[in-house]
This record gives sequence, structure tokens and C-alpha cells, in this order.
Amino acid sequence: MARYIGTFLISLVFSFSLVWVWVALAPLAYLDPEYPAWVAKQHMLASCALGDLVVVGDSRAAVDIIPAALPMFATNLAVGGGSPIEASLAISRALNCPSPPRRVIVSFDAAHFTEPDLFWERSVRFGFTTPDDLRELRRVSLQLGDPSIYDIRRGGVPSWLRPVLYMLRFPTYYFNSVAKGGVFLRWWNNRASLAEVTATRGQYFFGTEPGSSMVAVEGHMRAFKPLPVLDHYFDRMLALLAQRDIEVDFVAMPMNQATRKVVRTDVSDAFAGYLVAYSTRYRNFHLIGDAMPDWPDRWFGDAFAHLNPAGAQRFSAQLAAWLSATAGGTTEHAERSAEGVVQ
Amino acid sequence: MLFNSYVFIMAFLPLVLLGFFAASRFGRRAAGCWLIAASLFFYGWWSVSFVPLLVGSIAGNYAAALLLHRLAPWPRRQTALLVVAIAANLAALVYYKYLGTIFGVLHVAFTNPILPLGISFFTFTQIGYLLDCRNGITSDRSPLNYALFVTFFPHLIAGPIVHNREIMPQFGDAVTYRFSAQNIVVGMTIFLLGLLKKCLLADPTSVVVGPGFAHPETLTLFPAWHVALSYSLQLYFDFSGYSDMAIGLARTFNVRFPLNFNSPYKAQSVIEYWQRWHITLTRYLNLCLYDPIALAIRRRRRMRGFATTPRGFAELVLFPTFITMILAGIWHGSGLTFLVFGLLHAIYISVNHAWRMLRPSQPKEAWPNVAGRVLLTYLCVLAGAIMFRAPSVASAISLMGGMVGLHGISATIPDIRVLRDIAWLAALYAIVWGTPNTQQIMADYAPALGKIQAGAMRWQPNVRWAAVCGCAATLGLLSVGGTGEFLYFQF
Repeated sequence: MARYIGTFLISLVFSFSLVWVWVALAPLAYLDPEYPAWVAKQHMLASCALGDLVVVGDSRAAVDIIPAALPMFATNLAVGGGSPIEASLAISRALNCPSPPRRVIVSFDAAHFTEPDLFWERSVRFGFTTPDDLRELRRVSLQLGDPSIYDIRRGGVPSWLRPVLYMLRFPTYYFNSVAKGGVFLRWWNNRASLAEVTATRGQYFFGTEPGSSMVAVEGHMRAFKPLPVLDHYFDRMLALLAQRDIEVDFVAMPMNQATRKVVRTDVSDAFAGYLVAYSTRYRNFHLIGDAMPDWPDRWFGDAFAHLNPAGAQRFSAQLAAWLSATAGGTTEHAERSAEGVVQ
Repeated sequence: MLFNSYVFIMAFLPLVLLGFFAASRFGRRAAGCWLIAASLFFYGWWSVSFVPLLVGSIAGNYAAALLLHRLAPWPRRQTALLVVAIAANLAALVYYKYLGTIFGVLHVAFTNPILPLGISFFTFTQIGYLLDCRNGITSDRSPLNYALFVTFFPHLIAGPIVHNREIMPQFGDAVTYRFSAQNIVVGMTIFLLGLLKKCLLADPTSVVVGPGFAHPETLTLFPAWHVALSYSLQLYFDFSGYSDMAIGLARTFNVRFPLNFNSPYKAQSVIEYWQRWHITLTRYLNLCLYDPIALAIRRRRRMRGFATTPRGFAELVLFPTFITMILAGIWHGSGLTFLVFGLLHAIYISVNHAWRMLRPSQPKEAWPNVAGRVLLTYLCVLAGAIMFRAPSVASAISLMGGMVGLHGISATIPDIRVLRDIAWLAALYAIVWGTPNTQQIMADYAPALGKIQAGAMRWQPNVRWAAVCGCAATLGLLSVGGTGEFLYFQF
């Protein structure tokens, strides 16, 4: 039995170490296609070449806003699964740059204020958050009594240990991707995506179907109740931008009409009311147009209400026109022109 | 705490094993108390608030068992006490599991209580003990062994449903408390095989199941089959994997559990299926329901050979079968789908019994006949599984409608994902139908109580198996509690 146990342990340690080394050294080879987009955006933030306008938000913002179509040098830092936490972190890093952005567009769908979504799976796993960021999140979560994102007992691993394991790229957190990614089969596509997202300054596509009538997440929402921790980070980001006197426009991305038809009125009203309350609190924050605009289904490329390439071109062109019209203009001017963005 | 979690594998299990064998040096009582405390901690990890319920249930049932022994000279009083004790157990079960549904049907407002983990398992285990006390066939009355028998964490939450006569004597045996490297290695190997079944085979298969059953009306022919087949495979690998883990864990403590799964999808009839699927539940239902009902009818009629007449068949086969299977269905859950699941299997088994009477099986049959029977059995079981999983009877019927093309027969998007899904299902069926099961692989080391036929692949504690198991353990550890990918990215 001793020989069996010895061989077993050697085999276990050797094979586990081998996987760990691969996981730590070659994330681009196996991580899902969102990873290169997040990496590209981290590179842009690190290089501080952000331009005059920065976009932060969720995947719809990442898809729908094409920086090259805008009338100023812009960077799209919105990420798939992004929440106000990532936006707040991105903005605080951007503001530390020698020449920070002069204008910020924020865009989240209603669900990204109410659900934890993919914070650990994306932000932490992809290395977007630092250990300090996670410590701060833990502090805020405990202070607010909102464990929804910083779940203390998540996976049974102690909360102090989990960030360390992620930082060390502990392979169990990555194994699913290694298996689904065929160990190395995502390498070429991910390399191409990284180059592409860098070239487009942060814009990339999800679904590219010529239309979608699938009901997106808002259609399934029973109520709009922002999570305290997400609300805290949203407020923190706006406060930071207000301190620096930077104009912030909340531009809601369109959803397809199939979704809009089934969105509960109380949900859309509560979401709009939430944003309006912030525009009252912060003079530099403006809700541009409808909080839940809709477009015909033909402009959407998947079930998550991401615009297809034609839709994104159309939206970005309208946004560009609005930005041109409002550049240097007053808030009233901006609000008058807002309809053009979302129609 | 789940068996397939890091906290269990890395912390709880090693500590409990070390503590158990360390405490054994101070005697059986110390080791037993340690194991009970560890089991209660294991149970309380999920929710401490239900530990008193478990402890109260054990104390109450043990007290009832002692009284049953004392009342042995007065059978009527004994029976009355048994009825009260069983009623009390069932009342707790009804309150937590069924009252919400009952009030829902009656349109009475009622807030469903949170269902305590494993309540069905520890309730039925103890009812079985009470019945044995009533019948005078329990010899071990030690409170420590009884508490160990009920709380022993490997079976506490999801079975197997153990019988006091096979477990309590093991806890009374001094050998159980001696360290055995062989039992640790054998137990951990069985645990590893179960872990791989659960985490590497069942969990990845489940990703299509939830969305599919949530919207069965959208599924055309191929996606509907994909969802249904995936679920039946997930259910098997998940549940049998969990049972393997339980059997393996018990073995590390020198305790042998009964066999719970024996390649059920290889069954050639539904009766055989139930002899291979969740074997301990089938045994329990036979012992506590089917046999007593059939025996009572037989005694009442006092007629031998009665079953050969249609009326006899109805009374001696159909009646106990329907009662047993309906209750088996309801045991799994309170919804109407579980009732229909039970009814379906009652019909299958009844037809199967009738068929056996009309056409006795041949000693040797050609493989196409055997394959046909296996396939037919599997399809019957699949229909039951759909009913079992579906949120409503209408959803189940809708999914079955999709499977016969009522929602159209358009193929899914012809891309690499479809081919990959087909290859994955084919690989799983190759494992199900073409490879020996865990107990067969471990057959040389008596992995479980009961008769086990050895398979072609047999584990031995040699260097080659050690190297393979080491790599398999890496796979198992990697797949434990890992981060799933967003469904959007299937490849």
C-alpha cells in the first residue's frame, strides 16, 4: 500500500502542478472570448491613452458604441458583465492619468444594478480587480450588510483566502475554461480578438445575427431594486467625477421591441426614477433620453439585446451626431438633442 | 457541506478521519462521539437551525424504540405506539415538505417552511428502525450506535438509505475503529470515481437542462431530445456519483454501505431497472410497503395461486404496485409531476409483471433482442425522468411533444457546437452502456454490501493504477467548486 500511496501522491502533485503552470502562464490560450476584451481595456487604462471621451458600462455599451465613429478621440472601457463596480474602478484609474478624460458616457441596463452577474467570473478571474479593490469591496459589503457580491461563504472557501487563490491563478477557478477551451484551442481567436479590440479602442461584437426577437433580461424583471453595494459604487463613481467637474451622460442602450413590449411599467418607471434622482443629486450627471429605449428587432444580433454590426453603426452615428451638436453646449442643449440618440 | 467542495475535501474529511482514528485510541465511545459531533457539524454547516430538529428526531425515535421493546408483551399497545411514532415522523415530513402544496390546492395562504436537508432520508431510516423494533428483529439497542447509524455523515443528506441491521453491528464491531490503510485507499478510490462522475460528467451535462425545461415549448425535435437525454444522463451520473462518494467515504471509516446503483440503464425491463436504480430505496419500499400490503392481501384471501386469475393479479400485483409507486413518487416531492411519475412507473411495472406471466424469459437471447429491451426500458424510464424534472405536467408533455416533432423538426444551428454536443452524449452513453460501474471496477475489494459482479476493468493497488488515479484525482480536484463559464460562450 505504501508504494501505491507514494506513486499516487507523486502523480497527483505532478499533474496538478503541470495544470497550474499552464493556467498561470497561458490564459489567452484557454479563457473565454471575453478575456481578450478585458485585457485590451486594462492595457488602454494602463497606458493612459484614453482620449477626451471614455465610455463605461456593460456589454451593450461595449458593443453599441464604436469609438471610431465618434467625433472625438474616445475609448470604450465598457465590458461584458460589467457593473458599477468595474466602472467605478476604471474611472478612478482613468482619473489618475496625466490627461484624464473630459467627458464620460455611462450605460448600464437595469439588471446590472440589481444582480451580481459575473463579478468573480470576470473582474476577479480576469485580473481586473486588485487585492486592494477586493478588500475595499469586502469592507463596503460588510458595512452595507449586502453580501450579494462579496459572498462570504462562496464555494466554502474562506473569504480571506479566495482573493489570494484568484491572484495565484489557482487552477480550479480556471479549469472549466481550460476544458471548454480545449486546453489551448482559443489561443488564435483570443490573440486576434485582443488585436481587434485594441484597434477598435474597446468596441467588439457579441451576436451578429440579422435580427433577434428574443426577450432580453429586462423582460424578465419583476421589480427594479438596486443592490446596495452596486448603488454604492455607482454613487462613488459619480461623486468622483463631480469632484473633478467632468460631465457624465447616462445613455441607455436600446433594447429590441420584443423585450420592450413585456417590460413591466413599474420596472421601467423605477429605473428612470432612480437615474433622475441621481441627476438631481449631481449637476454634472444627465440622463439622456429614455431610460429604456427600444429599436426594431432587426437591429439586434442576439438574445441579450446586443446590437448587430448594422445596429451598432446606426447607433454610433446617432451618438456622434448628438455629441457634435452638444460639444461645448449647455445641459439644456444636450437634453433637447437627446432624442436623436435613442430614436 | 457538499462532498464535492474544497472545504469538505481539504479540511473536513482529513480532520474527521484523523480525529476518528486518534479518538479510537481512547476507546469506541470516544471515536463514536467524535463521529456524531462531526456529522452534526457537517449537517449544521448548511443551516445550524435544523440541527435541533435532527437531534430531536433521533432522541424521540430512540425513546419510542426503547418503549416498543418494553411493550413487547403487549402487542396491541406496541402497535398503537408504533402508529403514533410513525405518525409523528410523517407529520414532521408533511409539515416541511407537503403542507405548502396541500394548502396551495385548497387555496389557503401558507408560507412554505425551508425544507431541512435530508429530512426524508433520516425520517425513513428511523421509521425502518421502529418497524424492526416492532417486529422484534433489532438486537443492538446502544444509543451511541443508534445515533451513529442515523447521523453518520456519508449517508445523512442523500442516502443510501441504510438499514439498522447492516450498519449498527458494524459500529458495534471493534474492527471498525482500527486504522486500515487498505480501507482508506479503497474508500478514497471509490470516492474519486464518484467525484469524477458528479463533477466531470454530470455537471457539464446539466447546462442545457435548466433552460430546456424552463422553455420546452421552444424546443424542436433535436433540441428536445438533447435536453431530455442530457437530463437522464445528468441524473444518473449525479446521483450514482453522489452514492459512490458516500460509499467511499463510509469505507474510509471501515464501514461498508449497501450498493445503491448497479448500471440501471443496462436494465432489460422496468422491474430490473428498479433493482438497479436507487437500490436502497427500492429495498425500503419493498420491505415497508409492497411486501406488507401484498402479504396482508394474501392473508386476507388465504388463497394460493390466486395471482394467476385477473382478479388475483389486480389485488396481489396491481394494488400494492400502484400504492407503492405512487408513494415513491410523492416521496421525491410534493408536486403533481411526482405523482404522475409514480403512476407512470406503476403502469410500467404492472405491464412488466403481466408480460412476465404471459411470456417467461428465455435463458439466452440474441443480442438484438437484448438491445431492444434495454432501449425500450430506457425510453420508458426517460419519459418518467422528464415528468420527474419538469416544473409542471404541461411542461413535461410539451417537451415530449417536442421530441415527437410537434414543435417542428428544424435542426439546430449546424455549427461545431452541435457536433460537440452529439459527441459528448455519445461518449456518455459509451460509458453508461460500455464500461463497468464503480463497484465492478472495485469488485476485488468488496466495495459495498450485496452481490457484485466483477467487470472487465478491475482496480488493483499497483503502480499503474496509482499513476492513473493520481491524474484522475487532479481532474477531480480541478473540477470541484470551479467557476462556470457564462453560457454565452459554449466554445
